[in-house]
Amino acid sequence: MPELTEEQTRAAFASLRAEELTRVRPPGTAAALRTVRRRRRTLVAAVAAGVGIALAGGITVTSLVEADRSAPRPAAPSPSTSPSALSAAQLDDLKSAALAALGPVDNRERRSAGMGPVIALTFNPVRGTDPTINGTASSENKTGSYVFEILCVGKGSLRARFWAGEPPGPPSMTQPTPPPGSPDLRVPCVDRPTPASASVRAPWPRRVMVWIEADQAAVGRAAYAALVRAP
Amino acid sequence: MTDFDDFYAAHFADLTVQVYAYFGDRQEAQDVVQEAFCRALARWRQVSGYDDPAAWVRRVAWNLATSRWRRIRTVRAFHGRQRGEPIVEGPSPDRVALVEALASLPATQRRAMVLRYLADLPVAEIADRERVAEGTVRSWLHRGRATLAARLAPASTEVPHA
Repeated sequence: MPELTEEQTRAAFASLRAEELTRVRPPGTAAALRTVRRRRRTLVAAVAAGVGIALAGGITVTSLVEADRSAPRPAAPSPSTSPSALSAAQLDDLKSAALAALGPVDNRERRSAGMGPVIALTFNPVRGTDPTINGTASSENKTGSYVFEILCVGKGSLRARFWAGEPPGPPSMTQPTPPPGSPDLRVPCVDRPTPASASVRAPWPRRVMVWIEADQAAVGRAAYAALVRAP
Repeated sequence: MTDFDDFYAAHFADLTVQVYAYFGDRQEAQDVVQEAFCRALARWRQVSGYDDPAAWVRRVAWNLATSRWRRIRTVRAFHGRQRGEPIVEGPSPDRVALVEALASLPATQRRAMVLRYLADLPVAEIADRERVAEGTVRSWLHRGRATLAARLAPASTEVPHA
């Protein structure tokens, strides 16, 4: 069977490459950096090792990174240059303190202590540029029940909503909204916090939704830690 | 200018062309390559330590593209069932003849051709990546070149009569 020679093939691909290179429009590293930063700010879902043993099947945890574009925003936060705003290092300390106050998050440790396994975990400083956090988590959890725990270290307060959402579908431009009567937690940011918690049922393939909003007093002065776990 | 900026500038366009040549959709190719670079940036300290960070990004981009392609195929199949008629993709003016010819190759041959002639990988490396013998890759390339010859022949060999 006749075939293109090595030279002909190379020439054809070189021509394709030359033509296509003129059409490629790289979005750029700044766009990549913005994407990475946005993802870090929003819910970082960490599926801890060993969850599958406690649950019936595979785990799916997704961050609703894009959803916060249309999320209801609070009034513009006070600038982070405010004299009472904390430095990045101080905020990192608060973040560590918040995570520690949440208790053990390693699922082996939790199992041995008889605690429900963590399905999703997030802990971050409350930053001025993105005071709302949205996230979602789901698993083939036999019970279909989920517990949400959240606490905040520092100043100000948070409002956290937690509800059962619909199964994952095509990306939507509209922000999911909690149904009336769903848990609505007011979380003060203090030096020695204890977790506020709420429970919902969301049998597979439904998922649980989380929406966290910080007040202006917390922006740049507090850090939160939150988790979704099986009962 | 950081290491990552240099890396991005050196490889973005080439990787996009490779993914485009394999999947046949330029915008999708650009999107998945950008996503692959985002993932590299998120773990740049680790990825930059690899022998060939571009190979890591290529693999991620191809995996993403494969997933998207499967999803698109499922959606098209669904719509096809809903309408009760097959969806026939219309001619796309921005497809060059070679990309159309490549699209007619089986996936293994197409992948081998793109990796060999666009990514410029040696046969041994393609074989390693595909987990097959080098002879198998040579066979894919041979068959791929033969199919391309047949597909491209009218355009490349016809000489207009005066």
